[in-house]
Formats: sequence, C-alpha cells, structure tokens
Amino acid sequence: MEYSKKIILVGQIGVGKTSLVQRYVKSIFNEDYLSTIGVKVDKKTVHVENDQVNLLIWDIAGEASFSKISKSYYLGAKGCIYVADCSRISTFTDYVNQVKMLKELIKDIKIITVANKIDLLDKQELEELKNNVSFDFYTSAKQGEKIEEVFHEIAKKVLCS
Amino acid sequence: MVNQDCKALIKKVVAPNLGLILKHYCLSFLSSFRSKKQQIAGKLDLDHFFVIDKQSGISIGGYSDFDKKVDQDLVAGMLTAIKSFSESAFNQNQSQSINTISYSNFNIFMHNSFEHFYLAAVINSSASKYTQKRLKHYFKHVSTHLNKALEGKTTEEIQKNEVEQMLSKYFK
Repeated sequence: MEYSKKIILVGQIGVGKTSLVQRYVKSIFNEDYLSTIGVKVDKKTVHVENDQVNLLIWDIAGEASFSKISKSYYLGAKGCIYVADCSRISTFTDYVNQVKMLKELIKDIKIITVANKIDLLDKQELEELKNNVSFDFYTSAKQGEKIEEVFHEIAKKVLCS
Repeated sequence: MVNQDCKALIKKVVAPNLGLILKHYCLSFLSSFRSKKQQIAGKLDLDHFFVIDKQSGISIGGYSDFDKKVDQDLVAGMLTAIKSFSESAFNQNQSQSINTISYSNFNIFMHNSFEHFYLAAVINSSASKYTQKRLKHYFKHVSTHLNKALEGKTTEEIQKNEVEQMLSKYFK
C-alpha cells in the first residue's frame, strides 16, 4: 500500500532543522547558515516493510517563542520531529510546553525528539547530556549520523496511527 | 479615364461572378465563426489540476495535460504552505486567502470550494478574462461532483484513482 503523510519539524531557531532535512532528502550539508522564512516543503519516500510512505516534510521556521508560529502549519500533521541543539541547553528548556501545546492541537500526533549537532560535543560531554536529557535520537546533520534512523522511525510511527 | 476602365472591368469580371464572390465571403465568415465556436466549446487549455487537502496539503488527486509530470504531493504541499503563510502574515481567514499565483508563464488559480479540500489549476499561458471565466465554470462543476463523491470521507479514505478518473472525464 502507498500512503502520504505530513511530518513537521519544529524547534528553536538555528537548531539545524533545515540541515537535517537537507541531509536526509538531498544527502548534503551546508556550512552556511540561512534562516528559513515561513516554511519549506520537501518529500521523501520511505519503505516500511511492505508499505510505501511518502513523507511530506514541513520544515517550519524556528522562532524564539513557539506561540509566534502560525498554527495552520501544524494542521493535518501525523508526525512531528522536535529538534534541539546539543551545544545550546536553552533549546531544550521549553520542550515540555511545546509538546503539550502540539498534543492539544493534534491529539494523535506522533512525536520524536532529536538532539542535533553532537559533532560539537566530545564523548564525555555527550554522555553528560544523555544523562541529563532523555531524547529519542542524538544526531549530527553535518556528519550524517542517525539521520536515516530518525525519519524511518517517524515513518513507522505515523503508519501505525 | 481610370474610372471608366474600372467600371468596364467591374461590368466584365465582377458582375457575372458576384454570386461566387458573395458565396466565398459568406463561407469564409462562416468557417471563422465555426472555428471560434469550436474554440469556445472545446476543452480548457489546462496544464495541471489538483484536489488538495486544506490542512495537510496532501494531494487527493490530480490531472495533468502536460508531457512532463510534476510531483503532485510536492506542488500541493508548497501551495498549501504559501496559502498558510499569506493567511498568517496578513491575518486573513481562508475565505480571504490568496487565490492566484503568477510565476514566469504559469498562472495558478485556487478555489476554496469544500470544507476540507481546495482546488488548484495551473495554466501555462496568459489567462484572459474569458479563460478565467471558463475556469470558474469548471471549478463549480468539478466541486459539485467531488462534493457528492467525497462526502463524509477523510483524506485517508479517499481513493486517489477514483478522483483522477473523474477529473480525466472532465478535462480529456
């Protein structure tokens, strides 16, 4: 069977949402930082067992405050990837409130948490972070680490919903 | 002198063939009228047509009259994102939202006809007032049929093939 599902990427400004999508969809990484304006839509097909899932990935521009982002971008989403930046602990702080707000808006939304930019930490720092913050995936868009796994997992989750 | 020659020429050539000349002009007028009539009654010069879920921006079905197929999901998603962006940026509600986008030679017309879906048509030419009028007519008819066919169904329950077959009947 073939399915099309909308996935949203949320998180504070500069955490690497666009880099994650670019690495996953186009297998590229750009060192230059260009802030996303509004939203950018990309697509990638994932195979989960015998099913084909067309992931419509909405990369939503990060804002300092979650409430500033238009709710209409979230509507119709089946899955959400919440991204934080390992090198900026402040990007983890309002995670609980944001997830709560998303779940109020879309009851059955599946959420995956991703701590990006692990390439900026050494082994010890990464271990400390993992002890303090329990996220689903620790990734590096720059090095292409754990990116495929993140999107495959969200595809699996939305297929079950 | 010239006047007399002309009169003589008319008397000699035109007068006996007046019937034929009139017939020729009448026929050419009729033929141009017929081709205009066929043009009016003929199919709309349409490149792509999409039925899109308003919230998720996922394509419910589409029709393409263009050799090079486009990725329906990607176009539908981006159109929905642009609509959402304009609605939030200018604090508009859906009824006031963007309904035309012009890009290079392409004109994209959007029509909010359903509670859950909207329609989008792509025309690769300058869209005259006449074309726009015809497009409105198509939007209205397609909406009526789709409303009946999709009533009470969610995006997941809709069969894409079913919608595409219906659209083909309209545009082929």
